Amino acid sequence: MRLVERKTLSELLNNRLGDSQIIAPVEIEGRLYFRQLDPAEGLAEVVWPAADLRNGHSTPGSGPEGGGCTKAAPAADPLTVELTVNSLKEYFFPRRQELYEQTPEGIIPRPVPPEKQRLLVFARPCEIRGLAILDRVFLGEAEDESYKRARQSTTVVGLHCLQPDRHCFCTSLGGGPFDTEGMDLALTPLEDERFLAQAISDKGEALLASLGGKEAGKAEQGILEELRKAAEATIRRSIQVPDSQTMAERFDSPYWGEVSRACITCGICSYLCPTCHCFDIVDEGYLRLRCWDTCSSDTFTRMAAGEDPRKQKHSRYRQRIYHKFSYFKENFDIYSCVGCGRCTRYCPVKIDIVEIVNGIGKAAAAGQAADRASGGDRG
Amino acid sequence: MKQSALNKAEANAREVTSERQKAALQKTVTDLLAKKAVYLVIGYGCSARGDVVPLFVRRVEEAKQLEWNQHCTYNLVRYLTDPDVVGDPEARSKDAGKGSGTAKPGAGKVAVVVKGCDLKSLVVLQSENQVQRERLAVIALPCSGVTDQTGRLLAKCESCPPDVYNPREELCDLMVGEPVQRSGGRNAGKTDSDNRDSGYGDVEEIDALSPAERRALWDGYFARCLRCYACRNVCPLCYCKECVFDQHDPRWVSPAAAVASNRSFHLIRAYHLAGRCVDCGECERACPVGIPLRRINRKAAMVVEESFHFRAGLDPEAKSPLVDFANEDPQEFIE
Repeated sequence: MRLVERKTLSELLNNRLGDSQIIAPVEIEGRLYFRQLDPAEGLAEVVWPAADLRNGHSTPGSGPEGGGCTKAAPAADPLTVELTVNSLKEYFFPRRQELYEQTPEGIIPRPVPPEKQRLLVFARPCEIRGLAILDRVFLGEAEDESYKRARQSTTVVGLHCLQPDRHCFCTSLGGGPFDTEGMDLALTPLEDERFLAQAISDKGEALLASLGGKEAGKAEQGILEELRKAAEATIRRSIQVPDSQTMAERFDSPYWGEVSRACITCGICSYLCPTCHCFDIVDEGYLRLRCWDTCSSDTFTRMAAGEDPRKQKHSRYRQRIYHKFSYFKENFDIYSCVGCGRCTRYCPVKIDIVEIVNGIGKAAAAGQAADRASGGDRG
Repeated sequence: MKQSALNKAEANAREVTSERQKAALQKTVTDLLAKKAVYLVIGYGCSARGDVVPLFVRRVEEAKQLEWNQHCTYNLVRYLTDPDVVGDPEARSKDAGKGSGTAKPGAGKVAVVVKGCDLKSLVVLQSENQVQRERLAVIALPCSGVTDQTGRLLAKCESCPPDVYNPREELCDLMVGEPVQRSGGRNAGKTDSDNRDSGYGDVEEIDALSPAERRALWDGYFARCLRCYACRNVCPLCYCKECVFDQHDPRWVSPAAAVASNRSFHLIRAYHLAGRCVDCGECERACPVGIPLRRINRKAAMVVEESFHFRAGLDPEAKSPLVDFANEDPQEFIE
């Protein structure tokens, strides 16, 4: 572990801009996004993490429409979030990806992007855990060539998360704000524009060597430990997924109609989610492409003849929960959720995944339907 | 210093008003449910964590969960055309034909809690025959304006005229609380129908740009669009059973997010809302990537106002000029 000056890191990134793609958080109109940096702009747009993170990026989710119930809202909740709006997944699994073109000469596949070396900068542990979950899908039985290349060409400069916000719950899913899994290099912002840099992999070792800096001592170790404890203590939410039998028993519960009633069936939760990976195959003229799709949409399961097994929104919302906390667990032995809180943070009607999952166990099982749940409730 | 003290006093007064309105609202709803005048009340509630959420009340004892405060931003009129909330109107009429289902949810009246601005979208739904007005109980609340968490009034509220923040009685069934007094505001002393000059400044700002600049500006926004359709789905007037963007055969606009298809999406949606949009602002609020969607729809509203002297959401009997014709309509453009 070394103490690295921000200036040194900045020089290194600047030098890499020519031959690598750098993806880093930038600020656009008060919100943070991961963006691929434009070499012409240099690092001007990058939002550097600081030891004091309350620098005022707005949280649309808890902005005008969030919070506000006079008694229940804890006044101490931070109004700012340091997590980007978009997750990193679009740099591995793009929103729109051309596959091939049909021409009179036959099918011409689009070349898999010959990725330059890529540097992901200031990616938080939950983001990277999201990639580890996507790996199971795209690097599993059927390897996805473009995803694989994108992953292989990427070096991850991770960031310890100093200030989780009121929507974060990573610690209840096996992650943590100081988790280093999947990182090559882990940074912790300190005061005085310095970082504690910790090499996690060989790639990170090489990066760290080029950064120089003096070896961190006992004092810095202590600081790191304190910051970790403080960050973990900020996370007050915890998701408790019921066992598989309970999940199975609640599938037909009227609960799903209740909790999804306010849902407007938009795609915000899936599209901002670091682990949602459903896609559609569509044609634009003679071009075939793959693009994101969401189970909340009423066209997601619609068949050619018009029949749709998930006509009602409760069945679509339930699908999202079961995919993450039941089917994915069965298939890959891990929940497909990292606890980043984006789905709740940005939900236009504040549907709260933690509250809903935690309430499954208490819900009536199928057949025990309460009187209120008949008829229109179940659609 | 004086300024902030004044604001504080105003904020306190607002809180007192909204607390009083909340109590009155809960009482009104309790009465409605107790006499079985309605089977469902769509209102605002408070989540376990203190966020304002839409609340669907069916039982008398649940009425006390209803919330009313300056963060009640949602336009709940959206749910009046949601088959998963009020049932499918076709299925309902089929049931009625069989003489069954009168006791079932979906067969009685639905009550909805609205602010004056939300009420305007209901007026459009009425004029387009999308709700059976006689099966609704519209509960309106005079509104002191909705604010963000820091207490700042939302932009749409700053230009809200008195006959909107104090809803017009003839448009609703139950009025909860006394009319509110609001100081200042751009349209103090005006009415909704005569405040045309009141603020298309944001649109004119963009109109003043060159076409190339405008294109660059909007394409910058559209490049961000994820096509999550939150703007469409949260919109009280996007009630189409099958949206043109969801049709598979033919596929009019590619669902893949890219500047060109995103541009088509937003412009087509703007056309579909021209002369209908009442500027409730829900699309812009819902957008996760901060696209200033109100400006698109306000541009269309401005053109409709200039060309047809029509403003949407004022009269349930009036048809939007784009779905109507009159013999005296100018026809020079036809030649």
